[in-house]
Amino acid sequence: MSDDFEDDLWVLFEAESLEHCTSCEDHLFGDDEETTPGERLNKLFRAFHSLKSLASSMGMQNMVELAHACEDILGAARNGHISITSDIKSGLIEATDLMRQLVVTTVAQRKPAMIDGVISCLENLKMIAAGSETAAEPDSLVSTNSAVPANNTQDEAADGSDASSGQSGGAQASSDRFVRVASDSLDNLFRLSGTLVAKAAVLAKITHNAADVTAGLPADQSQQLIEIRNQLEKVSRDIDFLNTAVADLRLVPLDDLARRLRRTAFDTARKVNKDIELAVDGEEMRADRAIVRTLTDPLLHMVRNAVDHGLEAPAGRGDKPQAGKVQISFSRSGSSLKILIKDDGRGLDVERIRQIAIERRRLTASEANEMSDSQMQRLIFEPGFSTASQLDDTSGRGVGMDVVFRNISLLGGEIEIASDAGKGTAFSITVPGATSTEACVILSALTPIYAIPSRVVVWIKSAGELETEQRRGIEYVHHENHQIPIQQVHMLTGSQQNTTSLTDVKIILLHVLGFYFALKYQGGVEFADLVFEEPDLFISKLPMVSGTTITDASNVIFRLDVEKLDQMMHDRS
Amino acid sequence: MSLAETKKVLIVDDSKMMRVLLARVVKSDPSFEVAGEADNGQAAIDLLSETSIDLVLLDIEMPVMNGVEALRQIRLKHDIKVIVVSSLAQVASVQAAEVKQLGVDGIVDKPGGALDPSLAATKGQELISLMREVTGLN
Repeated sequence: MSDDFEDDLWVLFEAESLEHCTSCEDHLFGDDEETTPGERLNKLFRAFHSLKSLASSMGMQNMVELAHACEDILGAARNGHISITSDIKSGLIEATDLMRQLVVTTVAQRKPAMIDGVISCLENLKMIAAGSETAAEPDSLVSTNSAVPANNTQDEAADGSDASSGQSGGAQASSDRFVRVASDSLDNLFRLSGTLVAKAAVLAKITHNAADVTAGLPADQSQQLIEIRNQLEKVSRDIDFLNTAVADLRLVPLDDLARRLRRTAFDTARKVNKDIELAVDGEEMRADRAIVRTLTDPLLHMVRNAVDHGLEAPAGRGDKPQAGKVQISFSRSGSSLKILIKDDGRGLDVERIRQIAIERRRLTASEANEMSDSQMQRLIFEPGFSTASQLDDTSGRGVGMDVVFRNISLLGGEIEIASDAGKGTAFSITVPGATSTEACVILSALTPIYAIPSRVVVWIKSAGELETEQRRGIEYVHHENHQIPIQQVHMLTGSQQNTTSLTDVKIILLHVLGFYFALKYQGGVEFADLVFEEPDLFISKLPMVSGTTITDASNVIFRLDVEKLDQMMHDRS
Repeated sequence: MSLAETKKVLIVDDSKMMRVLLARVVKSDPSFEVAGEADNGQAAIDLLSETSIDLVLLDIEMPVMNGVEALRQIRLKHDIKVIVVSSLAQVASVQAAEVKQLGVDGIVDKPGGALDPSLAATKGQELISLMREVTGLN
C-alpha cells in the first residue's frame, strides 16, 4: 500500500515538475505572443515557486535552492526592483535545465540526486541577484513604474534566445527523446494493430483462394486478381512491420522492477534481522509492460519469501557465510523472458509439505509416499499451502505461492523449482515476451466455433486409440497417475455439435493451472495463430468465453476461457 | 454540530501531487475527511457554494484565482475556517501579511520530505494539530 502510494507520488512528481520546467522554458524564450511581459513574469514566478514546493516535498534540497534562487530573482523583477537581462535569463535557463536533470535522475534513482553544475549555477544566480539589486538601486523609483522593466524583458527575449539556445540544446534534445503517452492509448494502439494483422490474414486467405480459380476467368480479370493479391501481400508485410513496431512501444526496461525487488529484499532483511548479499542481473533488458505489471506482485512476494523463509537466521547458517545470498536474474531465451530467483538458504522442507498434505487430506499417506520430492515441492503452488507456521507482516502479504503460480500461468508462463535441503531454493520462471497472438486449436465442428490456446493442450487423441473407463455414468481417461473425467465440450460451452462429424471422436487433454481436464469433441481440428479481442457486452455474458475473433468466412470464433475451467468444475461438483 | 461528526475538509492547491500529499495527512486523523479538492481559487469558491465544508486548506500561488483573492471571497460569503498551506506564507512576504489581514485561521508550511517517513510524520503532525486547534477539536 505504502509502496503504491510512493509510486503514485513519483509519477505525479515527475509529470508535474517536468511540466513546470517546460513552462519555464516557454516563458523564458517567450514564444507566446499573447502574453504580456507582466503576465509572463507572473507565470515564470509561479512555475519556479511550484518547482520549489515539489522539490521540497521530495526532500530535494539542491533543487529547492535552485528554484528558490530563481524565484527570488523573479520576485524582484515582478515587483519592479530589477529587470531581466540576458545574463539573468541564461542563468534561469541553466537552472531550469539542471532542475530537469535533477528530476529525471532523482526519479530514476528514487532518491535525491546530486549532479554537476548545481553549485556553480546557484552561485551565479545569487551573484546575479545581488548584482542586479545594487545596479537597480539608483533608479528603483523609476523601475517600480512597471512599464520600464517590462519593456526590457521583451527586448531581452528577442536577443537573449539565440545566446542561450546553445546552452539548453543538450537538455532540449534529451527531453525530445522521450514522450509521455497514456498507457490506455498504447493498449488501444496495440489492440488495433493486432486486429489489423488478423484481418489482413483473412483477406490474404480470401484472395489466395480466389487466385486459384482464375483459370476460368477472362485474362484481364484474372490479371487484376493476381495484382490485388500481390499488392495485398505487400500490405500484409507492412502491417507485420507495424505490429512489430507497436509491440516495441509496449516494452519497458526492467530496471524499475529490479529496483523495487532490491528494495524489498533489503527492507525484508532488515525487518527479520538477516544479512543478505544480493545480486541482480539483466535489469537492462526490456519486456512487455503488461507482463511486467502482472509479474511485479508475484516477484516481490517471492523475494520477500526468499529472504524471510528461504534464508536461515544468521545463527542457523552453519558453515555457510553469515550473509545469505539472494540472486535475481533476468535473461532472454528466444522470445521468452526468463527470471531466476535463487537463495542459498535451507531449501524446501519436503517432509513438512508431505505432512501438511496428509493432514489436510490433500493426499493419502500412500499417495504421499509414492510422490517424488519434486512433485511434492510443487504442492506449494496449491491454494493455502504455505508452510510458514506463523503469519506475520512479511509472509502474510496476501499473495501466496498459489497466486504467484496463477499469475504466471495466466501469462502463459511456467515456473520450475529446484531445491536442495540445506543448500537453497531456485525458482525459474519463463514467460512469453509478448501477448499479441496466441497459437490455438480450433474446434470448427462446434457452432459457434471455439478455440483453445495450444499451450494448455497436452495432447489430442482419437477416442479409438484410448482406453477409457466408465464409473457411475462418468467416463474417465488415464494420464500418468491421474484419472480425469471426460466432459463433452459442447455441453461445457453450451454450443452445438455438428452432426456431420459424429464418427470422428477426439479426446483433448488440457493442463491448466496445475489441473488436468479432458474434453470430448467430435470433428476435425485446425491450428492457427489468432488475435482475440475482448468480448463485447453481450458475448461477455457467456460463461466460457474470454475473447472473440472473426474468421475469413466471417464466422465468429470464441476463445475458451481455459483459466476459468477449474472454477467451472468446482461449481459443478 | 456534535463532536462525533467528522470535519469536512476542502483541499485547494494547483499541484495534484500536493493535493495527494495533503489528502494523506488529512485522512490520517479520523476526525477529518476530504470532502473536495480544487486546483484554483475560483474552483474552490464554486465548490463552497454547493458543498458544506468545515475547513479549507488553501494554497496561495495558483493560476486563475490565487489564494489571497480566494480568502477574501470566502471571508465575504462563508463562515468557514481557513488554513493557508504555503511556503510563501512562512516568510515575511506581502502575501503572508495580506492573508493575516484578511483573517486567516492558521498558516503552515507545505508538507515536505515525503520520502523521509519521520520528517513527513512531523510535518503531517504539525498540520493536523493546527487543523484540530482551528476546528475546536482539542
